[in-house]
Amino acid sequence: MSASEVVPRLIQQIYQVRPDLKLPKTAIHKILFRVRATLPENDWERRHLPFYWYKYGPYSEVVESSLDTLKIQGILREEKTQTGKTLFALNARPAVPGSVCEDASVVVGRIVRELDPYNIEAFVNRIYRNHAPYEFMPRYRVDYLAPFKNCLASHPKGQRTLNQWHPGGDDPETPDIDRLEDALYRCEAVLVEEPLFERFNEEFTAYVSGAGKAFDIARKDESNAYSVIKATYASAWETWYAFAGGVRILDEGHDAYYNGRLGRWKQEYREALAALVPKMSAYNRYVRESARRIPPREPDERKKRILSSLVEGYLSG
Amino acid sequence: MASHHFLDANILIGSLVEWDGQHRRTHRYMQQGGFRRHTSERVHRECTGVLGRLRRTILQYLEYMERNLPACPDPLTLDRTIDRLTDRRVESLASRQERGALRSFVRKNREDFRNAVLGTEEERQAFRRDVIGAVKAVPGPGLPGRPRRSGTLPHLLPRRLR
Repeated sequence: MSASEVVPRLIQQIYQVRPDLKLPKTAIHKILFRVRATLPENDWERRHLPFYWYKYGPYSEVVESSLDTLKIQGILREEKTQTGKTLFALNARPAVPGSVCEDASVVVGRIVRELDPYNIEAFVNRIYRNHAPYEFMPRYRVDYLAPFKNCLASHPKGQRTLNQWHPGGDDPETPDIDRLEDALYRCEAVLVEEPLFERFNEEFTAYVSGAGKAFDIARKDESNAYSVIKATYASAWETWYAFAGGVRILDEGHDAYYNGRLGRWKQEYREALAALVPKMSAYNRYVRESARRIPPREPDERKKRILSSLVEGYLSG
Repeated sequence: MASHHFLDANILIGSLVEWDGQHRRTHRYMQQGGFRRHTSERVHRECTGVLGRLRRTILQYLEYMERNLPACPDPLTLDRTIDRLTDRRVESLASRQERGALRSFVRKNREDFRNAVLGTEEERQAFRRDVIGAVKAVPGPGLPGRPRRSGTLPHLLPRRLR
């Protein structure tokens, strides 16, 4: 088996285990990433399954092109769901089914049998928690962005309750503003401390400051809370996309196969950061203007002491 | 015609915290009426930028301590352990000002930090929330006197916060 045959055969192996599976493209990427992560480091097939971390998790250009090839060959077909999602399904078994080595076959079989195709998000979240190269990634993607999406979905525009953004309770499916805000500060505590990320970290901190005010607006249940929270969510994704453009550049963010892309990726990352700066300024300006009606909070003695200690130390440093 | 006052970052922060003996004077000034207060977007950004960086420094420090302190620290040696870990963390910071801020934070809040470390998870969370809350009290639209963004006054960079 040649190196170029490894990925197409692994993809077919997925459908040999469960011929009825219909999977979004991103799920196939993630399954094969799990296969790669499970195989021993010196495994021959593992070496031909290169990935990098990007906007939606581990991504492989080789998997992407193999999917196109299998579609052209008529082995896989694309199906559109009612919601407009595209799924890959087995169209026809290949005339001569290719096989992978036993180790890889066992690994693919185990992962695919355990997969719940109706809950791919949980599978992806586990990948972030167990394999992401930086702690910031699961905290931001899984603990902040995903619950934020659910939070917005459960509070549609115009819905009014006694305090719509602050339901409280113990239901983990409806994260309230406090949990979201706490998750965001936990992300700030584990920012990637690499020179490449200095500028990004500044912008992230600006985002956290703005989001903190935005959550206060939501707590006060101001009439403009929905649009402020919506803007906070949109900025959260802008921030993530800029980060994802940077993380793949770091050694931990890509396999050596992609080293030839680094020059282009760096250029794209610089452009993404340059575009993020004015967006973050505009977001913070909007939040500041929206917060005008909120009365000032009077800090208690401990908070004053903490702030005083920081400012004094900063100025004498 | 009302007179116009331009507020720089020293006054904005001085009205909230006692870091330079300015607090009483700036606080009294903020209570006064009869004139319009302005600040620039640049000054505001400077204030929030500095304070945001301080929040980040402390949150990273608390995370670092959480990971490195023993699960059940010995109260008798806790101060030494805190000092040793703090030294290590301070040395890893590139910015002189952030190093100063972290040292000052640990020195002036040692008792509270110590109690949080020896206390329950709730107490640790409460201390962390107070750090966040302290920086949230950043001068802004909610400040007494409501300084406004001005497009006509020249930008004035805060001297001491630079």
